[in-house]
Formats: sequence, C-alpha cells, structure tokens
Amino acid sequence: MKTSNQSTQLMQSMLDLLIPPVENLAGAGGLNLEEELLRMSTEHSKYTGVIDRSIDAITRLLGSSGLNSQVTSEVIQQFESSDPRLFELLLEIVYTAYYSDTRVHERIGWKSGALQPDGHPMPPWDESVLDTVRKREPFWTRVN
Amino acid sequence: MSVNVREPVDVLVIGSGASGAAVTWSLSEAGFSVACLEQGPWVPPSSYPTSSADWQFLQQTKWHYSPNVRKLPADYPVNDDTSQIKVVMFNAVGGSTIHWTAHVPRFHPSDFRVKTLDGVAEDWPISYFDLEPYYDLNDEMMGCSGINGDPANPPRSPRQMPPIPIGPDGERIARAFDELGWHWWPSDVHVNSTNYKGRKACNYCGPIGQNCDRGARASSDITYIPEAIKLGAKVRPNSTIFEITAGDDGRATGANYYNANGEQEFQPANAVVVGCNGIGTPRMLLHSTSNSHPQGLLNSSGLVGKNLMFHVYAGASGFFNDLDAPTYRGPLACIIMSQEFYETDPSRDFKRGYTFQMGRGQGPAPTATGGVSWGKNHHAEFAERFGKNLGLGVIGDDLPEEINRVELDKKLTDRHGIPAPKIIYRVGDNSKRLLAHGVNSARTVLESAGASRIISSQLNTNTGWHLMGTARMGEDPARSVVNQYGQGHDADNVFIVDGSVFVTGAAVNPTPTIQALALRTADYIRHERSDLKS
Ligand SMILES: Cc1cc2nc3c(=O)[nH]c(=O)nc-3n(C[C@H](O)[C@H](O)[C@H](O)COP(=O)(O)OP(=O)(O)OC[C@H]3O[C@@H](n4cnc5c(N)ncnc54)[C@H](O)[C@@H]3O)c2cc1C
Repeated sequence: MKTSNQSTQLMQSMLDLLIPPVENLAGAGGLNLEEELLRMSTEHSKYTGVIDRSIDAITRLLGSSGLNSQVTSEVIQQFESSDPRLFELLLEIVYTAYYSDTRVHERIGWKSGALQPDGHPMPPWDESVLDTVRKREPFWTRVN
Repeated sequence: MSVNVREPVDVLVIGSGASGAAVTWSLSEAGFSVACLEQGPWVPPSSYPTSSADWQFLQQTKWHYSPNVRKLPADYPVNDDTSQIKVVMFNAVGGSTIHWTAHVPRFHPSDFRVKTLDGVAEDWPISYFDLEPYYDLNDEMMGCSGINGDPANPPRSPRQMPPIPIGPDGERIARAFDELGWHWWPSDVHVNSTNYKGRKACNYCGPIGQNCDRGARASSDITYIPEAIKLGAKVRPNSTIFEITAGDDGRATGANYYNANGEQEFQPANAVVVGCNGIGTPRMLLHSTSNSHPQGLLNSSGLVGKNLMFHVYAGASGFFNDLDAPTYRGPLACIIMSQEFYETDPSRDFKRGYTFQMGRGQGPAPTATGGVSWGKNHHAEFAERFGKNLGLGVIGDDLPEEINRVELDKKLTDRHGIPAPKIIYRVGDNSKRLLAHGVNSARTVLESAGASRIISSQLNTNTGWHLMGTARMGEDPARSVVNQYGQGHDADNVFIVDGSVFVTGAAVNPTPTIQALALRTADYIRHERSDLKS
C-alpha cells in the first residue's frame, strides 16, 4: 500500500468522505485505519491492491494537480461511476475495517470480540403464540 | 506414469456433504466397506469465524460463501459470468453444510406432482410419502428443532427438540401474519434448541452460516461422518476425483483422483455413489468420458448438466424503531416461515408458489455493507438499520428449463487442470411474476408489523446455494439420467444422491429432501444390491 505523506493524506480525506466524523468520534480517515486496511489487503487476495488502485484512480481524476488538490464528494462520485466494481470493494474493505474498530463498537453499542462463547440471551419459547394459526384447517394439497 | 491402486471397496462415495455423508453412514451400518473421498480438508471447529474477533473480515474473505472469492486450495472456480444467479458452496468434509443455515422445511406432496396438478415440468417418479420415513430418519441423525401441527404441511413425527424460541421480533412478524389471516409457523431447523447427541444447544449468537464450535448447528462432518467412521467407513479428505472409470460394459470400475500430495491414485469399487452437489456432479460426469460413455458418464440422454435449478430469491426489509431488543440477537434466519402462497392458485399469474423465510439483522459490518450509502447520510442510514431491521425472504419455485445448464468450461480449470463448470442460467418468466407477487406480499406483512420504512429487492443474485436438477430422476431413460433410486439408467452401479436428481425444486430449502433421497438410495442398495458387497 502507498505510504508517502501525500498519498496518506489523500487516503485519509477519501476515508473521511466515505464515513464522516460523527458526534465525538472521528471519521474513518481520522481513526488511523491505515494499518488495519494494510493487513486486510495483504491477508486475502480479494482486497489485494484495492486501496492503491483506488488512490491511483482518484489521483487521475484530480488531474494535473494530482495529490496536491482536495478530494471532494464529487470526485468520489466520479470514481464510483467510472469503476463501480473497484469502488464496491473499496467501500466493503473500508466499512469492514471501520465497523471492526472497538471505538466504533463503543459508540454504536456493540460488544467487541468473538461472537462465541457468549452468544445472546433469548426469552424462552412460548407456545401460546400459535393459538391463532392453530385454528386454521390444513390447506396443503392432498395428492398421492 | 505408475498410479497407486488402493484396496478395492464395495462402495466409493464421492463427496462428504449432506448427501454423501448420509449414504456413507447408512451403507457402513449395513456392513458394506465404504470409502468416502472428499476434495476438501477437515475444518477444525476452532477455526470458525464466530470464535474470532475478526469474524466480519473472515466472512468476507476466506469464509465467504463463494468459492470464487474464497479461493481456498480445495475450491474449484465456477464460471458464472453467464448466470443471473451466482453460485455459492463449500468444499470440505461436511461440504456446504459447513456454511448452511440449517433451515429444513420439507417438500409438499404437491411438489412431486406438478405436471399432473399444474401442467408444468414433470412429475417425480416417487411421492412425498415414499420419502417420509427417510425425512424422519434424517431428522433423527441431524437433530431437528420444531413443532407439529402446521396446517400448511402434512402431520409428521414429533421433532427431537422444541422449536428455537422465535423471540420478540419473531413474534412481531408472526402477529402481522395473524392480523392478515396469513399462515406462519416456527421453522423446522437442524439447530439444537437443547443439547442433542453430545452437541450443545444454540446460544443465539447470530450468523448460523458462520458455524460455531458448540456444534449447535448440525453439519454432516459432526453428525453422519463420525458415526460412519465408528462403523468402519474410511473418510479420505484432500482427495480430488477427476474421473469415474467405466469398463466396456458401461459399469463403473472406480475412480481416479489426486491425493493430498497431488499424486494420482485409483480407487477400485463395486459401486460408485456421487454426492458432489448439483454443480460438482454434472461436472464430474461430463468429465468422465470413456468408450462406453463417449458423451460423459450416464449421459446417453444428453441431459447431464441440463435443467439446472436454483431457487429464485427476492425479499423486503423493514426498519423498526420501536423494538424491545436489537434484531442481531438470535439466529439469523431460523425463526418463522409462511407458506400462505405455496400452492398454485389459478387466480394468480404464475404456477406453483413460494415460501417466506424471516430473517434478522446482522452485526455492524454486514449491516453497513448491506447497502448503507457512503457520505453525509451514512451514519443516519446505519442508525436506521442497525439492530432495527427485519426481513422476509421470498424463496420461489424455479421451474426446470433445459437451457439453464452446467457445462465444462473450455478454458478455466482448477489447480489440477480439471475443467471448471460453466453456468448458463437465466430467471424464467414464471419466476419473475412469482417474485413480484412475493415482494408485494412481503411489503404488506412488514407494513402490518409496523415498519417505519421498507426497502425491497426484486431479485437477489448471490443466492445460488440450492443446486438442483442437473441429472434428474425419472422412469424414461430418454428424459432422465437416473431412476427413482438415483441409479444411473446407463450404469446400474453408479448412483447419484445430491440435488442433481431433483425433477423440480419446490419452494423450500432442499437439503432435508436431498438427505432423505440419499438415505432412500442407500436403503435400496442395502436391500436390493447385496451383489455389490464383497
Ligand atoms: C450459505 C449457504 C446457506 C445454506 N442454507 C441452507 C438452508 O438453510 N437449508 C437448506 O436446506 N440448505 C441450505 N444450503 C444448501 C445446502 O448446504 C446444500 O443443499 C447441501 O449441502 C447439498 O448437499 P450435497 O451433498 O448435495 O453437496 P455439498 O454439501 O455441497 O457437498 C458436496 C461435496 O462434494 C465434494 N466434491 C465435489 N467435487 C468433488 C471431487 N471432484 N472430488 C472429491 N470431492 C468433491 C465437495 O468438496 C463437497 O464437500 C445452504 C448452502 C449455503 C452455501
């Protein structure tokens, strides 16, 4: 993944446009997700090169001033319509990284960590919910 | 090249998924010597995503439902560029039951008689009642939670366990069905509501398809296969069959395969049972050409690979802002179902029908990747959905058409050079009308349940998990590939036991029917084919 100062800045602006700051929490760009995104894009071929190719695409769209200019929502929209498949993967990896972050979990009230062994509580089965439907006559088609 | 020849067995079973595992167990119990060869590895329960804090990333990557995304060594690529519905499956000991949701409704009696009743497709050569004892036996082996008395289905034996609690959100939707006067019933599921046969009760963590190390959700690697091994079956993982061999008389002699080290071996057998699923089985049959089967094994009718059926899926999601508990608590899709629109009704503009399957919300990343937009509305949209969304999936009967098919790809191969399957499939007109009706009805239910906003999809495409019809059964060898016992018309010692043999797909998840058919085939071999025992 590209790591020059300029490309990191561009990436952070792009991430903030995708998931902006909310309440007292920074946007995806301000949460320093770069390391997590790097791990994800090296750990599975599905995401190999997704971030770099996205930065390249945005840089191209920014034109001659390239990395020095401001990324805007309009530029991201252009990227989305010019390469929807790449954009979909970008969004998926960014959403997955952001919503795997414990600070985000805290804000949305999600318990971080593995789903097992705790699971979730569930009220017990109450057969009386079937009272209405049980009154119905069998209606399956009888055939041998 | 010298090829290692293994010790002959009575029966070679190819594939250890839902169907292959059931046959392996049943025939081992009857004293046949059985080798079950499986291209995938054992998957240790400790590796399941639900045991990892990284589960959301894992489910998008090496635990993805699609082999084309996962790309694990055992996965073969599937060229589904020419298919409106994309194929998903899993390749390991346990097959796709490693990933399944374990929702197990049965076919209706009418599903076996669609030509007689509705003038479409073909009748099956068997009836619901021929299969009934095998459905029951399969429930016993897999462990079924559920309750009798459903007016949409014939009465049946008591389940092994009471239903999974439907929860306050399930009750909310159930009441909406009640208000409309529409049918609903708690789902029959192969998920434990109590401890069962050494496997623990479900603790409702959510994504059933990502499995758990409690063994609460049955899969064939933890139900049939261990029992079969105790009875002497040899289960050989990492063994990729590339052809079933046949003699000049047309009968199978065994199979050639690559072992775990990539070396070629030959497994001789008196009979070969194929359970590689509705895509893997036609792929293997088409690749098994010989002097006696020049068009591929069992393919004198030309029907191997034809009549591919998935179920057609669509659905609606409602967002609720007045629920007592978040909707990500509880099994994702083993809650309730409705068969109000299951049977043909002449007043509607389509034949056959559909089932509604209720679904819950999911964890944060799957909620976001499920359609929350980026940008300034992101957080508001996420908040509207997360823990507040409930869905109704429409599972529609997908009538068979010969143009929907599996072929061998001319270029794409797996890591051994075996041709990949190519899928040619488009959604038929009857299905489109059926889905449109289903989506409208789903919206009606969610409205009645008090959803604040409803969104819907007219066709879900990443839903090719029910693979059926590509080597169908029938009495006429010119119109079918196998007979009612799954026995090849062209070779009396080759049996097919997976969803390939389905004549029609019905409007319910297929696996209990696949497993019941597999157990029926095994019973036929046990009682009528002692000649196959050495
Ligand atoms: C995400 C998901 C959810 C599902 N949910 C449900 C549900 O709720 N209810 C339901 O009824 N069904 C469900 N299904 C479908 C269910 O999993 C299948 O119907 C069932 O597993 C099919 O059984 P099978 O034996 O035909 O094939 P599989 O279980 O797919 O097993 C086939 C096996 O054959 C092996 N094989 C293939 N080719 C070769 C070869 N050349 N050599 C050696 N081995 C080979 C494969 O590796 C695999 O292990 C779901 C499936 C998925 C993917």
